Amino acid sequence: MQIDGVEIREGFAEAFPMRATRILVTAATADWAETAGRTATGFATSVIACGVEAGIERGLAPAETPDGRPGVALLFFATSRTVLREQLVARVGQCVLTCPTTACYAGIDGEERLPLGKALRFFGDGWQVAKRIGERRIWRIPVMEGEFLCEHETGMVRGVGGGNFLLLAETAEAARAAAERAVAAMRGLPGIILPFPGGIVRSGSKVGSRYRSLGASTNDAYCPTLRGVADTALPPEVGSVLEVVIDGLDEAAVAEAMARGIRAACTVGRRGGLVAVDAGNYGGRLGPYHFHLREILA
Amino acid sequence: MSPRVLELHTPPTAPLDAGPLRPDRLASRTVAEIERLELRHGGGTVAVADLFRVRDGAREELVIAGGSPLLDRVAAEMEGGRLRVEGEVGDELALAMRGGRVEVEGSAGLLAAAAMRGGTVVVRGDVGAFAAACRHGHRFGMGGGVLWVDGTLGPRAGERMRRGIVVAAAAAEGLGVRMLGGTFVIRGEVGPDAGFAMRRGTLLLDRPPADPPPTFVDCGVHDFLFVELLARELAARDLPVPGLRRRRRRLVGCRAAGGKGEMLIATTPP
Repeated sequence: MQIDGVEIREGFAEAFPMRATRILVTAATADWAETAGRTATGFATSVIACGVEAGIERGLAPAETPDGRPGVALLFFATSRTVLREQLVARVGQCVLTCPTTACYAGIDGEERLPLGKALRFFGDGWQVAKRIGERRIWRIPVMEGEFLCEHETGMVRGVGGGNFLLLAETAEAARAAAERAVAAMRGLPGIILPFPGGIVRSGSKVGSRYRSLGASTNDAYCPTLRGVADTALPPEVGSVLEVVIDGLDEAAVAEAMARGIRAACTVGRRGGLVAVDAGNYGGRLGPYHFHLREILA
Repeated sequence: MSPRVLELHTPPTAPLDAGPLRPDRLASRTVAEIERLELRHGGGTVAVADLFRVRDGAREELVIAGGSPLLDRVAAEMEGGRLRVEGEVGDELALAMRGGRVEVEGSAGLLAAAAMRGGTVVVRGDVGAFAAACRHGHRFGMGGGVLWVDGTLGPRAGERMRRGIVVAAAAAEGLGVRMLGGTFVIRGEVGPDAGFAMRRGTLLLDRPPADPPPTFVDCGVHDFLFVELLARELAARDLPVPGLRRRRRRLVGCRAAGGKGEMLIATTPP
């Protein structure tokens, strides 16, 4: 299968079940909402070392938020409820509560619940008060600026982490151009985030390492500078590989995002230096979600 | 489709328990079954047909055409549907109501929305004492929902109220006494003793109460974002309050009761 001369390999992305949640953060201006969102989802690229994978799902217009102010929707993914709860409380407490003018609301339903204001209210040192307004239970926590509004809880759902595709290009510039087009096409799609810097990974990993202290190490099969010394998955004309990783609230959202991203990347074309599109997997033995590239692009 | 109508052809001569006349309870009954339904009337009972003429219609909406101050317990414990009363009602309107919407075109008596848990109640006239307060023999007052009163709340509205929202044009003495939570929005005059022994909860006032209590402490003038949520919740129930979010002076009390309640008094015009 080819798109604009770019080979779509017979591979599949192997993804994993994750626990996921969404929160809505609003602020007096869109800039402050984005500042809070970026801070709360910072250092959240991979569960390998960050605890949680997180990102800004999309910006919210005033008409879309509970308090009529601009905001952002944030998604968080973790491997367990316990880790997700700890990370969520820590990140909202340190990055949203502290950010001028912000308020924080639940952004998703779910039978299982995660604490927001339920945990953070104690910062009010006894002066916090709760208000039930409609279906929302809101904590008013006094802070030096005025009041921080924070909803009692948010919902938790089962999500999908680790959807991905690899862009195999002749040069680093061509790989970056393709990846940037993919990210531009995927940003803002509902129910997904691209947790890595700028949505792009330059250092995809494999499971395990020759060093016992490391659970993951460089994906040597896709490292172009190791083509002669390691088992390689790269043809001779490939000089650089970039990966795009997608976490989503369900399989359909991840598959849709992958398809859009790959099509956008392929607009660089074989003549632009993009050689092939592949995907990362572990032989299909570890993750229950398999996104076959040729199927999602069919 | 037009609603079901119970037309009052013979006003009650003693307190009538209108509690069974709820759209959610009558939805599964035919007109004949409704006409045979027995209601408590004074010390005895009467059949619905003795007082009302029943016209069939959409079962999720019920209209009581005609009112009386002896129509007690209208919409008591109602869980859903819409009920409109074209007239006044008696005591215990929407007592312990849990859902749905009630509109009363006249006034209501004592204990309107007492122990209410959910839904929306709109009264186009005034309500009597103990609105949104405790029902007899219980510890807590209103626990959820919205009570909207075009006129004045009677004395001691919201006594031991825990949650919910009450909006009115004015309030008599003892507004929010011993209140434990919830919110009042009063757009006009408020009588003396407002917030007496209040523990928590919010009185959003357009002007200071008639007799400002010395047990409330001035915490300055601020802008409160939660008021925007409140305004949006009311607007979503087709009960908009223009200009609700304004800078307000925060008085915290009742400190004599160790309370963390508050009066938020508007400092700017709407």
